[in-house]
Amino acid sequence: MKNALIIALNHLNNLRKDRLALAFMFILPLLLAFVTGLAFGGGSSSGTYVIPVAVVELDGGAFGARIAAVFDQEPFARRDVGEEEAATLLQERAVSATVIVPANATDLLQSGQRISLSILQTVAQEGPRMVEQHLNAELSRIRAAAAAASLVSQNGIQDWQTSFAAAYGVWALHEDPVKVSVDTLGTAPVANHADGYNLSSPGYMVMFGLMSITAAGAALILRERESGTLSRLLSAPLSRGQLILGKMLGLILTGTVQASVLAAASGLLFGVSWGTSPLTLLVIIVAFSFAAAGLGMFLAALCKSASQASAVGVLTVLVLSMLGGIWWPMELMPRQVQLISRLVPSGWAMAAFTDIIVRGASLGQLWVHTAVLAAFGAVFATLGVRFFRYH
Amino acid sequence: MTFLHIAAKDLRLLFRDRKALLTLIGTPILLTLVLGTALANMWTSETPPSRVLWINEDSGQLGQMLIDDVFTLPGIASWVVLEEATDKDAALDRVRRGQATVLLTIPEGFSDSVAAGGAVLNVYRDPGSSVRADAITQIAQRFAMELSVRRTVHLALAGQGVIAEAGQVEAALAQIRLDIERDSLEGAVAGTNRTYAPMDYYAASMGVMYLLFTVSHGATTFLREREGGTLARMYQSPVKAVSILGGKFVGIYMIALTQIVCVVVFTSLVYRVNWGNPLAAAGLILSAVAAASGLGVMIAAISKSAASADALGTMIVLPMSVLGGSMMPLFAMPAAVRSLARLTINGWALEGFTRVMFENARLADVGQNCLVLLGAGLAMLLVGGISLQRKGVAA
Repeated sequence: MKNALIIALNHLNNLRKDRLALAFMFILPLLLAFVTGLAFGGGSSSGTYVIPVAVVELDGGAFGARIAAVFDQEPFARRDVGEEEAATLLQERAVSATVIVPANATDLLQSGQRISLSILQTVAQEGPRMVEQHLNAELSRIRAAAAAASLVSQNGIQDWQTSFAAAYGVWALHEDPVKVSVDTLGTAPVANHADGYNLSSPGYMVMFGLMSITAAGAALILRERESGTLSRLLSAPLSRGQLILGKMLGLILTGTVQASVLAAASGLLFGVSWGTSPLTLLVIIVAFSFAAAGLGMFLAALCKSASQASAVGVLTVLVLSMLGGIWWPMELMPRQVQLISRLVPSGWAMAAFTDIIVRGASLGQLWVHTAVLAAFGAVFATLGVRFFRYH
Repeated sequence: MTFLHIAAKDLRLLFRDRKALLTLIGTPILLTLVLGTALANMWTSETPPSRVLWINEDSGQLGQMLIDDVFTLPGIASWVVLEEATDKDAALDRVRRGQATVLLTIPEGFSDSVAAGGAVLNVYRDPGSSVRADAITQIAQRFAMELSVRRTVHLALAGQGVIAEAGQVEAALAQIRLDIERDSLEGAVAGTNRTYAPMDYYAASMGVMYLLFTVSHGATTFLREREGGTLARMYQSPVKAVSILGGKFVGIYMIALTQIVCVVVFTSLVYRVNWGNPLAAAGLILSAVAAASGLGVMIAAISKSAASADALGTMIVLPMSVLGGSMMPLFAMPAAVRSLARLTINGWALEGFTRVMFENARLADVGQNCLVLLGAGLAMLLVGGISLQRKGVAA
């Protein structure tokens, strides 16, 4: 055991000297987690997220004014433009969408004719979900005011225009009388949503864990075989079992250190809360590192040379990351893909980490994840050791 | 023409290494299939069924209407599974564990409070769900809005001295038809409305990403030759450094080109990917391959060993792929990230490919993309050349 530990620590020590490897292990995942976190709406809650919208207002009446006013509120930034300029802005992706208010819309509203607002985008733009939501709400308010105005003006009490303005004013007096109170459940003091950094941080932790444990680990073991280090170690009083145990321990230690640092850093930098129990987190990290190390051992047994292992390793990691739901919220995937994610260790690790982050899951709730990760590790390590050639 | 011999030798070596060839060409094709089908959902607004638990304590009609009439609408019922819960705490716990997306509770006296004011519906969301829980929350909000509309009409009428029956209000509301149409700029401008197919996008994005992996692999073999002494031997023979560098560039270029052409041919024949205008696509492919090859030569030149070229290659290729839109479509990213994409080969190439694929762009429309890629390739080749010159090729 002592020999194995020395080999393991030596592995960590070697890594410490390699600045490129350190950057790869710590800086790159944080950087990528930051960028993708933004893309998944990490910035939306902080109020820095602005959606620029072009408004082509061809009406000039009360209706057009109401619609335009929608985009004066956060998170929108309104740009009043003509039709041609709107097309240019869209093409340059300077606005997320263009809203066109048709000519004479107020007159149409008054006479009870159909009005179609159009939302214009290029095909390569993300759907205007927010734009549509806010427009729908505003259209409902207008509809109420217009219905009231038509009933009032039919009775000849007031003209349509005055009545519409008065009826619309009721919204401001009573706001939306029926409310929906929304509560996101969770154990953390602040509700954690499965978006933004809460998705990207564990995602890149798993992906880069696989990179440094599985891909780099397999390449390292094979490089030592190529340089004769393994042969020399084996000529010392050291059994093959001790050697492999040492190598595996080294990989697990590396993974644990890496994941712990990444968890701490994402907590500090992006405010990701990693649950209430550090022990739970540590157990999952170690179980994941073990699974990844087993996979690394297996890869080392399959590949002929270190260069082959690193090429195949990177591709393997990419495929595992994709299948494991590292880059996209799993909830959006079709059922088959969700099932596939449960066939790879990355999927289990990702599920466990997100459960910890958003649900504050305890070890008791994650024992299946832990067991499955450990089983992955045991099976692949056994296969790897069985087929590994030491010379 | 010595450099052509060197290039030809590299190609021969690659074709002999079947495993590498299969990985380089097979993986992007496989991943395109996986991503194209798996992510198809993200491109539409469809989501898999969500379980909604509900508790209705309201004795009036309105609460029951939400459950019986709204959630059973055809557009909603297809992705919502309704389940009545009896114990609120147990239901909350199930939602908290992710076994249901949302718990919806309609409090006692809800119907009465709609008229009196202060009505509230409660939505408790699964913390692990964002998009699906959002969608259900929105249904509740739309329902609440409809109720608010009725109440507002009554208040407005009362304020202006008109008394109307509920039926009259409904009739007045039904007469007002406001809707939202969604249109694409291309549909409006060119009269063609090509849908944005995920398979097409990922064929291009994986094609470009693996191009980069291929060139960084090429860089590694270059350094392995140096470590193996092949380069030193070449250098002693009457071959100029320029020829070696040029030969390597052409070799990597040909390998990368072969790879992406295979990907293009395969994806268009088997996955029916539409690569758009052939001339524009060809221009982008040739210049993207040039940029990638320049990167490969540069990585080879500035790395000390094959192992560090490998690491450096991955370090450059991965962030480029994330920032450049190979993992997630760029249009889903905020503007700041999109401008970072301008620093990557993937970003310029993909922007060009999407225009050609979906916006009927021709070569002239993506000329800027081609030029930037070519320029970047040339610049990196130069940096590599200078760095190699300084160190001495065989060092």
